[in-house]
Amino acid sequence: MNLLSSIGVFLLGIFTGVLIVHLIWDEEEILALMFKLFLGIGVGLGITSFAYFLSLLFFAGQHFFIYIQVGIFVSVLLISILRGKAINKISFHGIQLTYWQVGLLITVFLTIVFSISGALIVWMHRPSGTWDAYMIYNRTARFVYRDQSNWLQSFSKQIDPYFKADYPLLIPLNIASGWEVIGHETTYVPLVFSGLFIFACTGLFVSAIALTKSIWQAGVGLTILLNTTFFIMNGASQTADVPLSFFILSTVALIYLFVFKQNPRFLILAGITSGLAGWTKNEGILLIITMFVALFISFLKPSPLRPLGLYLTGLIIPLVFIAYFKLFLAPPSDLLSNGVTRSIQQILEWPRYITIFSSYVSHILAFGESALGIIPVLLIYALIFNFSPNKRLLPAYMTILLMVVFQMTGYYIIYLITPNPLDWQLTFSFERVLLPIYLPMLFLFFVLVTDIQVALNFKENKKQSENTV
Amino acid sequence: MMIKWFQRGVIVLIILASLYASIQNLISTKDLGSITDDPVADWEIRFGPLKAQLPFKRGVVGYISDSSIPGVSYNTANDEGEYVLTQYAIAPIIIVKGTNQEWNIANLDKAAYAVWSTTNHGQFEVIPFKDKLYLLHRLKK
Repeated sequence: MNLLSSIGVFLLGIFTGVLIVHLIWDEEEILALMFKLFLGIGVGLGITSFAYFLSLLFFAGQHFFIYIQVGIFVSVLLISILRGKAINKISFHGIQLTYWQVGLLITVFLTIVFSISGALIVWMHRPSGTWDAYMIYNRTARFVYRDQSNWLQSFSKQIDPYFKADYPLLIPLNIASGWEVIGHETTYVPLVFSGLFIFACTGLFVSAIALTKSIWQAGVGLTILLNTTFFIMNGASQTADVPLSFFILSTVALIYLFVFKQNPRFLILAGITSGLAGWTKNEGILLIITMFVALFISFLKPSPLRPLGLYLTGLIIPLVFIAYFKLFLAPPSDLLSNGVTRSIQQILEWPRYITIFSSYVSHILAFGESALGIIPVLLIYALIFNFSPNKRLLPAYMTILLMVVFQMTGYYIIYLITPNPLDWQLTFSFERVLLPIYLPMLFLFFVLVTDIQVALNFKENKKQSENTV
Repeated sequence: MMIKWFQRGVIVLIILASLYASIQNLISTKDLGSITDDPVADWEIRFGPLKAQLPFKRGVVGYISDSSIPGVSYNTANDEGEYVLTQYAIAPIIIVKGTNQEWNIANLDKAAYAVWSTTNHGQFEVIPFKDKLYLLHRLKK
């Protein structure tokens, strides 16, 4: 019962998110609908956290968030109906499968089963999550839920900076609102929340590749992604890395779709998702900046003004929430707690550069904790199938690559000035920091490498394939 | 034509390797230990009686552990982990390190408590709990 109600508390938010995405982008082709469903999960949970934040600001202690949620959902539903955006038809292609494709489908299915089993085992062993979950996100949720009238004390300067009370609120507010709607604290709420993001992140990755390449390319991509053990284990551990990965991947996929389909609305959605990344984790705030610069450079010709304007249109509301929280509520971050002078001294210590660089190389090569070496497999795959980039999509490729380079540079600077012991910081954070970068890179890999549907002469969906290459 | 078959072979190999890897990944979850080994749940139970004894639901309490007592040996990782678990267990009460608050938690093993009690005699009313846990109430002068 607890599990079912913990799933139920997120449904209104998810439906609202899916409807909002559909209002902005009303395509009804089945793969587009799937992409919108997965995107809507994250967007909906982001909107839930904004709504709960406002309800806390104005009605703390009143405990009627469920009515606010219903009100938002009904309003969005009415707007959808009035604007004629209800889904009228769903178009399927006729599906005929060869033995190859049946084999691929069975393997993908088995990989999904094993991955779900892995996540279930983590949830059974660690129902309260792991270190970051109970140190930061679930702890903040408890502070808010257990004494809602005094929820602002959750950001008291007396809290040890070690507990990161300055971290953005998408996750804690979803958990606290879930507990409020159910009426009691249960470990199922954060557990379901983490499961939703693993599901949405995986689905978004697959549907984005299927939408722009083919479902067979997406199938191969999915087996590689699910074999990245760290992705499943980290997601099930209830930390913020998979939700952040979801929003970074969404932003990247939407910018790719903007160039691919020449529909400006994708950039508005990309602005929303990058803003939600910033509302999830501090690294997401870095994404807002790096994506802005990446878009500026990639769309310099003919002019970056229109893409940037559209991106900012979507970004503005999340940015207002982030700015309000960071400027007026959050305690100071521990990043500069050593003082500016010490930080500058650290920047001038050249051995730190070497230590960080060595760590970058070793962690990237070993990334994923998979029994299947991810990097060697991708290298072999690229050698056999070759890359086949499309010149028209160059600004999209460039935006993704630049974003990744800028993010990694940003992390490099943070490691340089961290007040914590460098080796400790690198050991315990670097793989988690890499995960949100890994997904966009994997997406970029599978949209750049030759589609297996084309390479292996799969006949189905040929029309779609011709459109994409 | 040969290239196509070679590519198909590579796909089959990658898929089989993937399947093998996903089984290995699943097997690796046995490192998580027994299903009853949830440190968070254990900590919640351990702190339940102490939390009930505190006279407020929101406020600040001090916290000391073995690492706070000079000359006492301790495991850094465990000490840090216990600090984090304590804050989680007693939320929304804030813990700050030291014993400067009116109410303080002492998470001390036997040797550490012995050292602490000799240097702080008469300053606190000590309420002991199970599992090396003490609630220290600072006495008014």
